[in-house]
Amino acid sequence: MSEGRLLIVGLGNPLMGDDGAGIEVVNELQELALPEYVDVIDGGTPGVGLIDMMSGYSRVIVVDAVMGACHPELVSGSLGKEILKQFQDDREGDNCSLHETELTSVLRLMQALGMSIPEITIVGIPAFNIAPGIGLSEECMKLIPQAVELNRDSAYLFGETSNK
Amino acid sequence: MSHDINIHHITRVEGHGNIVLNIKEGRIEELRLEIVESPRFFEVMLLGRNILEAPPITSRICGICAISHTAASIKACEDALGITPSENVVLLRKILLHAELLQSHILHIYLLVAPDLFGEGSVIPLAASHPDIIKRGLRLKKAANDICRVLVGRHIHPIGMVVGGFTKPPAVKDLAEVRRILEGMIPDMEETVRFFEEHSMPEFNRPTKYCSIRDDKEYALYDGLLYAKDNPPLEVQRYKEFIAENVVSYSTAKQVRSGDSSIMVGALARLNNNYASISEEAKKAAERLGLVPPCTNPFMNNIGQVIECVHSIYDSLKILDILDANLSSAPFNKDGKGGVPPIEPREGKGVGVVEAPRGSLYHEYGIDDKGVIRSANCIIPTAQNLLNIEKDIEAMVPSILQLPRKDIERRLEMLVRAYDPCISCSTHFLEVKFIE
Repeated sequence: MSEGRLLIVGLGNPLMGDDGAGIEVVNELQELALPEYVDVIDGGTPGVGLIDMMSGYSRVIVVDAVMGACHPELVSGSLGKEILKQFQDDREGDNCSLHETELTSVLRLMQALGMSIPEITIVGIPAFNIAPGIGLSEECMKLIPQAVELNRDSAYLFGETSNK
Repeated sequence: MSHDINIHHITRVEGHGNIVLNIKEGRIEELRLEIVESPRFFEVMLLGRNILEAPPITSRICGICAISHTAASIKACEDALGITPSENVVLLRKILLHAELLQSHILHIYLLVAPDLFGEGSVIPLAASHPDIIKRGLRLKKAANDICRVLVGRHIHPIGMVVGGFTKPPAVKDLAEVRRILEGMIPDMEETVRFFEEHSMPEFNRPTKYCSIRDDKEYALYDGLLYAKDNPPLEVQRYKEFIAENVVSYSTAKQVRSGDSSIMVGALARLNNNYASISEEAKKAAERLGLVPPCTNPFMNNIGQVIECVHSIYDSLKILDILDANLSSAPFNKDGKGGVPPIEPREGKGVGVVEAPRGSLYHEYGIDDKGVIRSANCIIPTAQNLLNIEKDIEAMVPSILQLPRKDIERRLEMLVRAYDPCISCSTHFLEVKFIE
């Protein structure tokens, strides 16, 4: 039912400071008038529930906080098929548990089950403070408008390139 | 025989745990289950906030038990504010607790327990070698997700569950959809029981104190008195007479006792306490799976989860029958409108306890006359089980020391995993060092 549709899913825990950056972005996106072929979801910390969320979408944008970024800039890029191939030799990807299932583990599981994997773009927001507490750091907050804009532009671009 | 066995776990963000175990001449000299994850101070985050913010905030504590946290939080709020929810609201909350129990147990038994049964290190190789098994688990999980999505807007971190009721009461067609989903789960659940019938759990018995809530009328998940055998049943407001938390130097998680004993909470504890009131379909599954309480084998907690899944499906269908009958003669809310009644703040204290998939979950808030939270306490199931896991390791190790090292490691991992703790993940990566 979601073929030809774009999913923008924010991930993270708003009780852990900047880890909630992805949630903040989708909250703001939900206030905007976006094309009808776009679904915006506050995914929280879904673990393998991400499989259901992504099911049927041809493209997914994952908005999440990233740690270890060298510069206070957004990190954006496609998760290409070559990366998925690398997972096959990546034992770290086997860390499949309930609470800590990361995107890579979910994709490895989908791959092992022969499920169709959508095209995935990551929009990463550098995290400056991941610690218990509600609210983003000032540095992280400054990047939210840019992340919202990037997602909005991507949504329109998706429409233009997929013959909508 | 002399061993120093240090089982270290290094993991990512959540759930850091180590087992330190020193054996000299076949005797345990030192044993600690260390929880080294940072304390998260969720209670502190609630202080100074309006009490109505507590449920949505605490729903973010856990990506798996979000409905239980929301329900316990709502119950604590309603207790403090003197609100009595309607029968229909309570019935719907019970279905949601069942749905979350299904989500959580199904994931645990298929993604974490099943790989052990095949000797696999994780679900990924099992998914490659036996995709049908994992696909069945994911189908059941999706169905449980769909129930939550239909009833409260999304499958985790529920939107529609609030103090007093539901922001949007379900329409008759929503309840019909939930019924269709539940009925669709039955064949896969039957296969699940058959699958576990073919596999046995390790044999190890150590009686302990099994704690849960208990209700004379039904298998208690939403409401009941605090219960353990030989204890007088207590109102939840008196929970500090039932369990006590204490701090140990080697763990950032508190340890919980009841009287002088460590305690076990979760599926096995509930079955031991409340077996008489579980559904007939679940009793049949229990007999097929060889779990007839009282059962003192912690590995059977996994089997208890399978049995509870059967119960949750059939009990949800029964609750739907009642809701359907209620809605055929009256609207969901008495006034026929959606939403919740107006809430008047008042000074007070409130306690809410529900059975989360992993065991009893306690929330307690104290509020001032403006409804601002001035004190908060939250006791999660995993914290209640930690001391008991330590005691089980202590009792089990002497009987497995003759096994090959790899088997000792696997058996200890399986034991910890049987409790389905939030550190389940950690036990997949135990690094065992044997020094002789």
